[in-house]
Amino acid sequence: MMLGIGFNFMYTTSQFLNFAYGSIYTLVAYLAYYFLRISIGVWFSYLLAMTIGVLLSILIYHFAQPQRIGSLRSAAFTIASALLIEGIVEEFFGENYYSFPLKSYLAGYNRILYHTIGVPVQNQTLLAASLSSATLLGVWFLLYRTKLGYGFRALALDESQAELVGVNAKLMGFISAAVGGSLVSEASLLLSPSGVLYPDMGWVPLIEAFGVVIVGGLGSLRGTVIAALGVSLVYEVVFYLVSPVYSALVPLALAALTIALRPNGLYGRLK
Amino acid sequence: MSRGSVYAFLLVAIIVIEAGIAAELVVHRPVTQSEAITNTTITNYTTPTGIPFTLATTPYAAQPSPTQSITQAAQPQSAKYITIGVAAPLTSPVGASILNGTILGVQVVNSHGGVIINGTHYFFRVVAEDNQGENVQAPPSTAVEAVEKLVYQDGAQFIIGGSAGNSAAEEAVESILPYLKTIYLEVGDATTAETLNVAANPSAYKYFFRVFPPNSSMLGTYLLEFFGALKYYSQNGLEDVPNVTNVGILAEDAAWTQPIMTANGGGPMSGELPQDLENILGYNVVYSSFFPLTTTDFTPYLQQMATLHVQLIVTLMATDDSIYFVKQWGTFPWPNGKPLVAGINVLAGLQPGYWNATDGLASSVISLGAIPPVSIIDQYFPENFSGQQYAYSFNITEAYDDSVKEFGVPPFYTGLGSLSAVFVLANAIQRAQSLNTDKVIVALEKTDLLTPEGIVRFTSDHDLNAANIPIYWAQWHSNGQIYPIWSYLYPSKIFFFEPPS
Repeated sequence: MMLGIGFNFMYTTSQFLNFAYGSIYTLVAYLAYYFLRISIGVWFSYLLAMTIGVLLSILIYHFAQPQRIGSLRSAAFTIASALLIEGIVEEFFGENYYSFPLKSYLAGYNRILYHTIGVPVQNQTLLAASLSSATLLGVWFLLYRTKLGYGFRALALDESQAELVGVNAKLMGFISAAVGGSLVSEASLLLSPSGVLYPDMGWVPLIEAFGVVIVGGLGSLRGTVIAALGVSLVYEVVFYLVSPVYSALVPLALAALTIALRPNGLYGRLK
Repeated sequence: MSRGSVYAFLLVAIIVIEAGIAAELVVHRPVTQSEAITNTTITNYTTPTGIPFTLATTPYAAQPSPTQSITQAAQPQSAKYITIGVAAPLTSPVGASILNGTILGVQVVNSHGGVIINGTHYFFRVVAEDNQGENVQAPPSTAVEAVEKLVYQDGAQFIIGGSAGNSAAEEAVESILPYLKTIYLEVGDATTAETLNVAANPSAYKYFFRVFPPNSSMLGTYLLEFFGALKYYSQNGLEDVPNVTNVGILAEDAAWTQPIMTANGGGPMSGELPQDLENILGYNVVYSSFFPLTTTDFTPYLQQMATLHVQLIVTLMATDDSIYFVKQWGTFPWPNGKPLVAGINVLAGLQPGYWNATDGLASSVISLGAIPPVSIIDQYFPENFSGQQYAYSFNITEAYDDSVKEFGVPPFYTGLGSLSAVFVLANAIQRAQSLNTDKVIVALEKTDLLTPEGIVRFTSDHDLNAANIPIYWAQWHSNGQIYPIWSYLYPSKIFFFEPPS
């Protein structure tokens, strides 16, 4: 959901489709792993990795502004950036599978939940769910309760009109890239610890996020949230009632269905 | 940005992604029901003799990145070269081992003067391309492009290639071999479809040879033999093997698992693994499921197995999903005790990478095909190929030791295969006295060579004849080391078994 929101956020505010999102996700995870291994402190490692993720997102946006080079070239540049970042990660970290070092109390399943309600949930998943919910509230607050958010929404509605009333579209674009970068970095730091690091680990989350965004509608954050929950629900239904094998197709199958039947998505507003 | 251009872009992106997934699905076959199996090859096991468990462990250095440079021993300036192309997932330890094994093999061959054709010494050299074989998101065309680049751009005359379980990519590569007319020695993938193609259309697919591992049908046999031994040991209370009745099977949804799980494999057992475990070995298979290759959360599967009181989880996993699985299995709150995990768990052979990647949670995980320390193999499972000389006097001990010395880690099974493939190729070229593809193919078909992986012979459909290929079952122990615990060459022995804790 966070990946979808970040991806959609950038598109909504500056029509920027950032396909390097998955690679930023990968790089942040590897950087956090590296900083933790050289023992510079847990919080500082996370903060530093996240900062680099945000800066990288801004940098990619700087070169790939769709208003400057066109949307297709912009998307192509982000894909190229994704491959470049992935290549750098492979070159620097090699081919091994790395496991993110976790504090022992975060590792494994939450036994209290399991013994009380009988549902096994990983501690890291609980942390990810709670922090991403808090982040979602933060994004909502930013968009609907701040001046900056008014500016974003104005740009989303009509860029030229927004500029006429004094919204600096260029600056807002960079800010949206920063917000998107922070969201993907946070998602990476929350999800990576429960898995394994490998150089192309970012493509699966990117594709799933892309599917969710299509279903929810490009340009609609509400749609992304509802679609994320809906896609997860359909995923579980297919898993248990049809076959686990077909559940992997759910995000993209729903995306294809949405394009065919309702191209704007559930709540999308394409320009 | 106009709406039309966005639609067009999204549609193209979706089509490309779906096409990649569809290509993967095309070669997958759903599980079908089959008849019960009546034949059996399981024999009675004699009580093992008491052998003391003393052994040395080998500390491992950190793994350096493998080189992709051209390798050659000291050769005269006028030396002629044969270029071997390596198409492997170089970004993963699986592919790195293929490249390392090839480099090691090339060094050995070259140090023995290379290959002599009509009095002229030819030395091997290596070029490599990444086939993205371990990236389940990469379409099969990536592997095809890697091989094409090796042949058309890098000048490779022979290809050693593969991955661990990306059957779609291997079949895609096989489909272009009639056009490339280049010999392809496959290591890593066990799918029977490739050699079935050779049998169906030998003139087109004659270029394909599977060097290692044995195909999926044989893998099914190995599974049953080991679980039969495990059953015998558990029933007789031997070696701390727990008494297991309820079994769960978790298999990747990939082409290589189909012949093991279904009746279409055509192997000696020719049956479904779930039914074979029940009808032949007397286990109670309470759970059996495929899972998508992109699975990272195995909680629903673990929950289902916990509910059904599974005591043994049989795994068929060839990609990094096994790392996710083991990490979650290792920390799952099992209400009835942690079940044993045993099966084909390809990455479990990575030493010490798998232990590190699973944060040490791989303790007690058993896998087929790992290459345990050769000191233990030599002492407890001595390889016996009396009457036959190892090619280049290079056996598995030297393969293991040289790999640790040069690359810092023991060979993965793919590395053992690629090393053997180099020896097989050199031997075939030497016998053919030619680099002509058709002549080398004829020579390859007559291969009978003792290599580090065992005696390599090919069947009529260019598959590996597994009759003399020692395969070890190995288990990770809580001390972070891997030990061989069983081999079908010595069926009455299980050693070093450590129950899950």
